[in-house]
Amino acid sequence: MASTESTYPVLDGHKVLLNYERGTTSWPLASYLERGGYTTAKSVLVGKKYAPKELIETVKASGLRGRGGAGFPTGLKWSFLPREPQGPIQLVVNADESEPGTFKDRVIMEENPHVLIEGCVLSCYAIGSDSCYIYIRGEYVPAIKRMTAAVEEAYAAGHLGSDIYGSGFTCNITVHSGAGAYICGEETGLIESLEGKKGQPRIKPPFPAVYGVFGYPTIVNNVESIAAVTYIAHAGADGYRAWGTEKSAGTKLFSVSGPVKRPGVYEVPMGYPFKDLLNNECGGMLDGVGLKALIVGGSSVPVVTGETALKINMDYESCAEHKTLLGSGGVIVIGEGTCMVRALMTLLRFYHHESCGQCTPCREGTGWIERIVQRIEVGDAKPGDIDELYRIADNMELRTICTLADAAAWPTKSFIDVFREEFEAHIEKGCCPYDNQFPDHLNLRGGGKPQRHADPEHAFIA
Amino acid sequence: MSVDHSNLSWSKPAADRLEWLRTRYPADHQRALILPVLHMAQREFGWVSPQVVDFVAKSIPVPTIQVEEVATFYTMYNKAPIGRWHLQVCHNISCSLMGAEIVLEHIEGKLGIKRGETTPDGEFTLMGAECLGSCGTAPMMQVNDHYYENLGLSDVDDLLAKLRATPDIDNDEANVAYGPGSGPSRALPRDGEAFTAGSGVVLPGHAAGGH
Repeated sequence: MASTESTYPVLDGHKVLLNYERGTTSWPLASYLERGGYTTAKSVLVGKKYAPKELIETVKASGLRGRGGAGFPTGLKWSFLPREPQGPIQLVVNADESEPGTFKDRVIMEENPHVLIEGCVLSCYAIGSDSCYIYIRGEYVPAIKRMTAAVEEAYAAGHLGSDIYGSGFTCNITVHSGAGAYICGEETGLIESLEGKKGQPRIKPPFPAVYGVFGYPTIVNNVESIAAVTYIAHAGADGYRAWGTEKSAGTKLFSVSGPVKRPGVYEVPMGYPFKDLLNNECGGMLDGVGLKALIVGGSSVPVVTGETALKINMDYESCAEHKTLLGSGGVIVIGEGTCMVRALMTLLRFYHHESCGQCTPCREGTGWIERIVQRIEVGDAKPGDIDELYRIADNMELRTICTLADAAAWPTKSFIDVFREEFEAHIEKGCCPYDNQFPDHLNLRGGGKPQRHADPEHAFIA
Repeated sequence: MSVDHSNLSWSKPAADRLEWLRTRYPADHQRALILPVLHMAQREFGWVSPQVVDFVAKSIPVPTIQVEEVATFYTMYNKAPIGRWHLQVCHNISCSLMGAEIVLEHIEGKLGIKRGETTPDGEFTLMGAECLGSCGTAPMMQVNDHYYENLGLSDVDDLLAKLRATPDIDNDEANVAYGPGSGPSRALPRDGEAFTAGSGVVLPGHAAGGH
């Protein structure tokens, strides 16, 4: 038996999930093995680096918090499994990445799928499971293909299956495709969907740890959380805590979109200033575009002004201090010249469309507030409409089975709180003050292109 | 796609995959096959007609109503025939900030249809889509299984022309998407190395997804 010491390169002093040169062929097993892939699984399964309980304690001590958006401590979630489980424990990886502005899990699955698989093996070992489902949103065809191929590779090379490395430990992974429903990102909605039903969230309790998929005890974790377990098992809790803050440990992927020079997915230490993320990683705003506002953690979190944004550090505490949430890390940069009423209208159309219809405040409320914002945008609103909007949003909060209603209410209230004068201007003028204004970066009208799209030729697949 | 729905049967790869799927979910929870088998049926038969729903229900087997409720809940199952090319332009917030509505209006004008409609020749179905997770390369659209990103209006024109001139949808592609159980593994798409994360289509010298 080869060495059971684990190796794990760290790129640029902090990149542990994206620890390879981007844009290279980083996804095949051979490439992953060159980066020390599966040595951590070997060190744990064969070398007995940790007993399962020790690994749970290590993940707890690492301070890893759920990377899907809620930020619930991962190790603590694992420890909710009953001592005497009824039925085989299941691990379900939530890869139903659908929060607008979020595209980080896609990069892990497409560029570094084996780090997720190794994380699944280690997590299954910790929680005492031999069965894992990776639920990927159906639209992510490339990610589904990459993950499916990687799982096959891992089976063929003995990193998955029965009696891995002769350790006696068995782990099976099945890649499962969703079919287009935002609500399936909610963990019990996902469980229902995995069971072959409509993705309508369940009433809790019982929590999935007790009664999850197929009625078995189930742990549902985000792709990025499980991928991070690989590094935590390698470096230990302190190794992971080398980055980040007390309450926001480790590194995090941020997916940045909007009118910046280099949008994309970046791994930075927690607590990294937004200003630096914008100016260094993203190369700043597009020329001539000012920073008007920021949605820091996916479309469901409260919006902040550009001025506030520049004071935010990318961690849970700093976001809370500035009245927003770190969420999924879907950083949506909003440029000057953007109509905030229209932006909210776009968001509310989405929530209305995606409401699963189970709970009245959400089913009726999302459509109701969408209609009010629509009439504000087109100039048909009445003076009391802004308060009405606020009141309805207030009444949607905390009154439903899952948080989709809250996810529609929070941006609604924050858009009004932060940009009330824009809503008022629409009503006073009887039209949208931004009508027919197209900032330079939207120079698509005349057949032009966004600035960063300089290449004249496309390698069309068709 | 014109497939006769009055007498449905699975192709050999699909039938093999169905058997493989049965082994991946607990024997007493075969209802879990509904989503994957519906995906497979849509690829085989073009769209999810009432006959397809029945056929899927019998194949698993589960009561028809269970398949019906899944088929109608999820947006990816087409309950009506669609064009040869399914254009889905994301118009959620990140794409809107970068001009998605302009792209949508442009295509509407170009094809003479509104979103939600199919061209009379059956070539294109146009839809506005909610966030497809391609926010850093906006504006973008999904055409069948592929993402086309960083679109300018001239790119859209080129793309529509190329799609029109493309005789057949690649059936290999469909088989690949079935994944394991469908025979030899051909998991990477035919564009092989040109397939980079964050991009269905790679622009030369333009690494999608940052860095």
